[in-house]
Amino acid sequence: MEKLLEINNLHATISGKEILKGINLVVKPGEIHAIMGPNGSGKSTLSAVLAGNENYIVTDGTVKFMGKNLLEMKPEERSWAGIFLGFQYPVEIPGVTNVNFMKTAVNEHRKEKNLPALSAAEYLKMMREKMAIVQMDPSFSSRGVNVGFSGGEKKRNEIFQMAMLDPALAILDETDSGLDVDALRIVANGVNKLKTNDNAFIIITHYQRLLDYIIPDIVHVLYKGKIIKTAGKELAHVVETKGYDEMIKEQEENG
Amino acid sequence: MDNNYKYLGNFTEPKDCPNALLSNTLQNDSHGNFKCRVPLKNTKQYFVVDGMLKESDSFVCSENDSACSNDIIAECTDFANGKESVQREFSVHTRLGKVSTKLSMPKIFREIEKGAPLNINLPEGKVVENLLQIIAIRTNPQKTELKYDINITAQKNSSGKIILCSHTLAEEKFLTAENINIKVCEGATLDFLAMQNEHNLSSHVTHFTIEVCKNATFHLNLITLHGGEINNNIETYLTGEHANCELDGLYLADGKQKIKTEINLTHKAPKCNSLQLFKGILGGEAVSNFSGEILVAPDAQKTEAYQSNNNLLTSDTARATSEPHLIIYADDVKCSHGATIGSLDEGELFYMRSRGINMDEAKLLQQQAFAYAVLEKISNEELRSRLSDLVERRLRGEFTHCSDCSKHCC
Repeated sequence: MEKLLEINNLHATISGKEILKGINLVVKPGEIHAIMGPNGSGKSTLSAVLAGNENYIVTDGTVKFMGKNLLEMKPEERSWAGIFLGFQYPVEIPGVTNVNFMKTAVNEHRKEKNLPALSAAEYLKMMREKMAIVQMDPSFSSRGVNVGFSGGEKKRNEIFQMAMLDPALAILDETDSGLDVDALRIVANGVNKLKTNDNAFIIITHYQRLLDYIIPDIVHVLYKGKIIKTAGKELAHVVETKGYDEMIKEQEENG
Repeated sequence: MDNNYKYLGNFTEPKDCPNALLSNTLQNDSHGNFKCRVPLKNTKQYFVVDGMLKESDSFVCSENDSACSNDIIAECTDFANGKESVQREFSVHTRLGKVSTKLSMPKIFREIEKGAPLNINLPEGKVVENLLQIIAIRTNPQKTELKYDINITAQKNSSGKIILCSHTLAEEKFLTAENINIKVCEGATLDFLAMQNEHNLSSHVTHFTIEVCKNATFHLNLITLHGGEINNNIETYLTGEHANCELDGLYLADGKQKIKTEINLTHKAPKCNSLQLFKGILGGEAVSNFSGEILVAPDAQKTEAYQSNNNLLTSDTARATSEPHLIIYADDVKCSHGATIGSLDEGELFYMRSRGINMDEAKLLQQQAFAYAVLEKISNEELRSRLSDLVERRLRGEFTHCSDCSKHCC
């Protein structure tokens, strides 16, 4: 099967501090990867680097996305190419309505594909359909982006945006943090509905509970900027019951 | 033509640059008339061309002609017979010492030609449904310096809405000094929106003297889209109990434009409320000075007065200063002020870019969002959307005329 994402020996720093110390990861279409790991292991850094956050500096390694050099691309170009980052802390943008924000985004994507901009009616129809996936009330569309949204509403908004942009690779950074059980189920159901054989997901999470709803094909454990263990979905249960200590010890013994 | 003479801004690279060719006459549309169709059907328009009120029937009014010929309310008196109000001279000089950058307008202190005053009177108890629009145009190249007065009185328990649009229609270095005297009498309500859209060589000084009486409400929206040197002085007095005053302003400046905003708001009577929100977006080498003073007189107890000034700098070379002053002689008041000067938010920009919105568009959205807080205060929805549209096009660096105006002045 063709590779969607291929990360080779990726090193990255922020403010001179090295966070990623040689990541290797291959994601193929149709796969769901989960990345787990203790606090400070570099999970969010990895997602930020993949989305093109310029606060992080890549010092070594390569990232290919659908055969193209991802690291040369601007954040918006990565989005057009099919990368989506679901933020751990979605940003509030007062004064920009959700509808204006997503309409601009969708039309920028369409412009890139040489498609005409959506008419207001077409956009509204699409928006209503996608909002239904995460049971979002249409009244949210006229509110400022994430302004005054609860934690759960913000995460639902992220999944709604993902549905609108239909990415080939979605990276969800701790989408489960701050969610109660009902919101977690809604968000997870949204992801499952959007999953196809052609797209892929990287789910970054601390806990197994999201993985009860979104079943991963492959689970990785990230520690001190490196992937120290890769296995099937059962690895998430090991993490949940035994924690990371044993794996870390094993890793350190192996050098 | 001077290279500086352009309506185009550089907030973003201009995408749409029609030739900014302007004729010196007003004969331009298919009927040979100047036309400004604000989106409200029952608008009554008054044209003040180089300081002279033109009879509205010599121009095309809005669609609903009956609105042009009813009983209201404006008259233009000869200068000799015109009512002279007390506040004649600009108080700019009294404040210059406080302001750190040099916004020099020496000409303003010279005697310059004075146009006839325009007087607008809202009769006692009358609710004026029609929007009154004053379109002040500078067009005569022989008359580049001009001073005129606009006197507005909202009599007891009357209510009305007025917009004032200031434009330049020729490329001369116009200097306009206007006194706008507003009295909102007991129980009256007045909404006043001023839109300033002139070219880079214009200098425009506006001195508002506003009195808000007992139980009266006054709301000012001051939208400064464009102009070489703009100087807005807003002197406001709340003189009767329960007077209510809201002053909102948005100023956009880039290139080498200079904008100075000075507010002196005095609470003379107890139990009055005032609220001020002024926001500015500054790019290029633009300079803005904001100075806002709230003075609460000794017996003005139970005053509530709030002021906020926020500036967004979109370039490294733009400058803004903000000076709030609170002078409080009463002891039972709620007063506050806040001033910020900031740049575009990196976190918001990255969030938008990660959704595929390119950098220019993301910056634009952020600036629109910044401006929105002021625009949303415009009570009339159609006017709000018209102004929002003009602000967006201004920020895009496009030619900011109203899309259906034949003169393309604004």
